[in-house]
Amino acid sequence: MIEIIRLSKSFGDKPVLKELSLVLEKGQTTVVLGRSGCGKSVLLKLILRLMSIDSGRIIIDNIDTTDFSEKRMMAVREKMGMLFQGSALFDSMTVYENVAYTLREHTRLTESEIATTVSEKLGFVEMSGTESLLPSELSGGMQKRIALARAMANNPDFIFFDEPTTGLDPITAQTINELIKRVQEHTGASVAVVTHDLESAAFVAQKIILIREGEKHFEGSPAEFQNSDNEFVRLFRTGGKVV
Amino acid sequence: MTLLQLLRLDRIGPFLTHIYRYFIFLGNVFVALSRPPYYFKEIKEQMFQTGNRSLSIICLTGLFTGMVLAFQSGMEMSRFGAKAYIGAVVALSLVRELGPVLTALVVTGRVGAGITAELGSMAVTDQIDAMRAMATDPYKKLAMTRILALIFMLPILVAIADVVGLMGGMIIATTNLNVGFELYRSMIIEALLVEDLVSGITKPVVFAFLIGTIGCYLGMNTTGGTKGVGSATTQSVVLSSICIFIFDFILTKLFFLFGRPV
Repeated sequence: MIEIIRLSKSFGDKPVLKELSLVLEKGQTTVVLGRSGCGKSVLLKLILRLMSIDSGRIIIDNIDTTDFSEKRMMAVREKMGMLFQGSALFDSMTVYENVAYTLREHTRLTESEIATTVSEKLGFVEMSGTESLLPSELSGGMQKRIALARAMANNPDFIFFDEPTTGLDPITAQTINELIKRVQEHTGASVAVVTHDLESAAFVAQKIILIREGEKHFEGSPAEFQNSDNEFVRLFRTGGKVV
Repeated sequence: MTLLQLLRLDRIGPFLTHIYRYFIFLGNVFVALSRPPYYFKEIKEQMFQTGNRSLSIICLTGLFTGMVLAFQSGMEMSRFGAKAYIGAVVALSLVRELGPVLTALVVTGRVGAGITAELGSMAVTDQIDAMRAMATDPYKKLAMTRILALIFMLPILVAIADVVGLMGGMIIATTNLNVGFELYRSMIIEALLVEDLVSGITKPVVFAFLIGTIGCYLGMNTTGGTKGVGSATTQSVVLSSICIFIFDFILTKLFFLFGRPV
């Protein structure tokens, strides 16, 4: 479980997160919704401590990691996997090397054991046979799937998705949504998805959190989100159209 | 436009911030260096890349520098009947100055720029963040490996440039200046002292450190998409070149103070 308490982050004079508090439940998929630029991606980067925190606390599995050094955060990150918005595959490495990366870095597995795991993960995301390809030879949707295989290679306890369906066609987006659901069910990991895609949220979420101007505006189940009378929730649901 | 902007003093703040962040970067690299893993395979790969990218152009630079040096000095020295010393002039100029500086400048353009462009592209496409998210220290995996590879390879490349340059000088000395090979060779051996060789090895190590750290620092801190990568790469070449000239002067002064008798 990840507990975020009164988390704040500003860039220069511009506050992005304002005393945001929320909980990412263990073994659940939590979707964080919000308008572009409201601090959703920043939230994930703060949990992973890819950015420094201005104020607030981040508690991961009952351990307060707020003041952890970079070295101590490394151990925490080993339990996490992240799918970046642009996939962020290492473009100088093949698909195989990308998926094998974490295993080579953090395990003592032999090369044949690594090959078996890579093959299994690529099979899971339905990308078998692409081992020798470079990321530049793959489409956006394929890159996302490889990035997912890489994120789950080390069987992490937490998997974060930053805008997993942005820029994809509806069919590919749905494939990714199904994969997110399957990953959670298959691994039992705690999953956090940051998106502004309502269809994706409705499909994968067990809990929805809506952020507005850096603050939590709504928290509830997908059904509660659908039925909420809150003005901003309704506005977000209808895409600004008056219904 | 304010007076501050006119005098470009408004740039002092960002410049000092860069200096501060560069030293933080150096601290991180030294910390990375102090504990395993050391990524020997990556260092080896980077050494190969450095050598492979620069060897041909360095040989060409060395050859023509040696030839021009021999020709220019030989013509002037002939007027005073001193052309027999051409081997000494070429050797001292090459080993002490031109070999290290010209090779470092070529490596700055070929390798330093490449490092900044590569790491810059990785930074703007979140690959460096992805590496950190996967619990890998990018200072160790990306910066340390490249800096060490440069430190190992640049002295070797300088030595090659020196040898090729001496051969270039020999071609001119024997064909254009009527200086025999044996005389040319003996003058080189007589002129070069151990201090010159120490200077010839020390300078490239310092230059390699500068090229590597500046290239990696600017690359890893690139922002602003592809435009940012372009400007970071240009900055890397300009800054490294300036630093090479400045440190060449400082090192030369130090070597004359503490090493070679003036």
